[in-house]
Amino acid sequence: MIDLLIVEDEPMAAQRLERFAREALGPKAGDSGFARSLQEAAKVAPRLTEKSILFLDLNLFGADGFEILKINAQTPARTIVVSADQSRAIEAFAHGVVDFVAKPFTKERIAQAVGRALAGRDPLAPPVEYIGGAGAKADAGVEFAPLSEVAALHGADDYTEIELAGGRRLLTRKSLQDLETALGPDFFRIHRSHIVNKAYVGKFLAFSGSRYQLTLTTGENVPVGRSRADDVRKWLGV
Amino acid sequence: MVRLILTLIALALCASAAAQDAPPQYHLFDKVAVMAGDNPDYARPEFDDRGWERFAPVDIEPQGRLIWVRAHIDGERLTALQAGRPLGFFLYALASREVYFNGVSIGAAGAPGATPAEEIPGALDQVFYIPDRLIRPGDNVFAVRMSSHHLGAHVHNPVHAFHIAPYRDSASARLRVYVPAIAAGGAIALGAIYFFGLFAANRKNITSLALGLVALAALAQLGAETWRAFDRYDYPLHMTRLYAILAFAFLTGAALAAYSCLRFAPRLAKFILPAAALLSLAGVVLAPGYDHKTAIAFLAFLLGALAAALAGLVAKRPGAAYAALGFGALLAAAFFAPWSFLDQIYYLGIAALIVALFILQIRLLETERRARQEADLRAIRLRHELLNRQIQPHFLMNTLTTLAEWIESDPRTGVKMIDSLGGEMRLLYEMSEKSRVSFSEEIELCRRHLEVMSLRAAAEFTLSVNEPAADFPCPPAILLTLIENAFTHNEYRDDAVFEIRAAETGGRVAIVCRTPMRRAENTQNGAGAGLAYIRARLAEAFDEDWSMNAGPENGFWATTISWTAR
Repeated sequence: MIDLLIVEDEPMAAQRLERFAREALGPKAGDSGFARSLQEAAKVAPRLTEKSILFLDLNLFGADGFEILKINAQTPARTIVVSADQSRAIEAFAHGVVDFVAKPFTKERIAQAVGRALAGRDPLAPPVEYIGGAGAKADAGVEFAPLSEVAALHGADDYTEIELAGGRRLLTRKSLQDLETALGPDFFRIHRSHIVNKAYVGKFLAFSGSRYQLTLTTGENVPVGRSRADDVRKWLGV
Repeated sequence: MVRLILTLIALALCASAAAQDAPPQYHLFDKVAVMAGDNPDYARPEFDDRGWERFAPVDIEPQGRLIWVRAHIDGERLTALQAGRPLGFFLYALASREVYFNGVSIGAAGAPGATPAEEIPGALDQVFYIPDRLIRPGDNVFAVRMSSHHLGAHVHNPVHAFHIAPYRDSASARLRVYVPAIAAGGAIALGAIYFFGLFAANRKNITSLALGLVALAALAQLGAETWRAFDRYDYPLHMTRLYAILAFAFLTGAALAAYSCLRFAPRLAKFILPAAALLSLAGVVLAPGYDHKTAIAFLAFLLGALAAALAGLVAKRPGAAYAALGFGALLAAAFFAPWSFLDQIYYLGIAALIVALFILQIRLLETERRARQEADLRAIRLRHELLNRQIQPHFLMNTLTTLAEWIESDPRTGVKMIDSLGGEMRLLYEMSEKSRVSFSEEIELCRRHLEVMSLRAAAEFTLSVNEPAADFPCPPAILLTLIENAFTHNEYRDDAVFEIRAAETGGRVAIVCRTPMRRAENTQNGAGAGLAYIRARLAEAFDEDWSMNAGPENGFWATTISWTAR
């Protein structure tokens, strides 16, 4: 079942969006949730799973669209931005949303967006430019980092740890799987649980027993999956 | 060579000797003998007038009586004056007179008489030719029979001239005095045409009207003044001329002071103008002689004009320094050269003033043209901003999205929303063309907007407005902007009442707009653009004569805007 969360301050628009989305999902439609403000959305977003679809209006009672995009970073759900202001589309895509629908929208356009969300990220789409996550402290807010500052991503149980150049770490509930498709050719999944940025690779070490390891310029040692070693060599050109 | 130099020296000596021996140009009489009454013997040269009273000619008093005046001059003195030229007896007086030279009548101006009925008024300026054949060695006697019954008012010094000089027509003699003033008249006439033209082109240009009046009144004064040179009128008309000069001088001064006040100290006008007028009138009543009356009538206002220009100087008004300098110079001229002030300096001064004001006016017009251009640009920008706000995606696209939903879910409400939106757009379009609309139109616009917003939020937003006593003009869309701002900064999820209270008291309009406060935590401080629009509109309509302040008030955000009604 696909759950929906509609973050929209205009009730009539939210009603319309939900109707079209449920029609598109048909029997797969699960629960619908609504949030009219940033605070409400921030409360509900963590409950979403990667099977959820998040509809985001980038203008909520005057709140900054940039703040609203942080909701996307907090959730593994596929995010569709539905906005009156098309000038924010590029920014939204840079943050990894799967689609951007301009208001006023048609039923067909919503169905198309839902289809894209279900299919996952389009491999031909340009890579994201920012990656967001919460700081390590419990009460830390969500922040964004440009990809150039991301050294590696490490998969944990139900979240992903983003290792930044300075050694700081951000946590996101997006899966390593989802992130891998969004990051572009500078990043490579060298292990089931690790993605690294080529710019931060220091040494490629081979050990006895076909064990391999990358030492990053940050000092971190990252194991290379045995079955991926040849692909990693090709990627690095060694 | 030496001979040539000697000849030149001799010639130079002769010339200087000739200069020393040059004939005198005129003869003034120190004292003349005066006797009231009438006797044909008084005309005879040999009559013994030693018992008569002696006066300076200027003090001869013919008003209300018939008198004889006898003046003696030596034959040699007359021959020296003559130097081959015809001689004239210059007797200008506000009286009728008959003139006898050595017992022979040499002319008359009117016919003197003992009573008003017997007298026939004669010309004011008259030169009597002195026949050569009557001049004799020894004592020569001028005997004048004169009376003045037709002036209508008592004047000081009714005898204006009483002297002997080579004969010249009275008009040409008089004209010579007025040549500079008449030349200045051309500039003044041009000034009148120019400034009245400016006023005709723009009726709001009151300063041009004032300057036009200065020029016209000065021109009329010049006309009355020089009338004496162009027309040898009979003496009773002289009073009319003096009254006319006095009145025009008063008007010239008043217009000049009004101009200076309007231009440099509009707020002080209500003090300066009455004070100057009072001083001027006091001078007219109290000063002796019409020359003094006329001078003071004008100078009092000139003093007022100077005061206004000095006030303008303190307030740093453009041009005030030049004006103060000009007015001051004219005042100084009146004090340091009073004898030629009214006849010459006055008109030259006014002409110089007009030329200077021409230059000032041209600079001012250029400044105004630029200001107008900026105002036009601002008006276009504001109009653009107003219309642009309505087609902004956030407003238009969200409204259309909601509209689509209403049409599908509840078509009747959908049509209602189309009506409201259409009404709002139409009103806005009409208003965008104007810099002022009526308060009731503005309220109608706010209501339309709240209808649209109600349907968008599926809540009821209402407007509570008091009924002001009368409708009044108001800059377009300023209250709408306050309401729009409220929607940007609040989360209106449920019904809400917006309040507008307007009052006009003592020419001051005050509007209070209260919008309910339902604060969203993360709102941006984006009110700047909306408030900047309101400020620009208020400045466009009321220059600096407005105020706006805002603050929380019992759960409302209250914005008070006030201005002075025009």
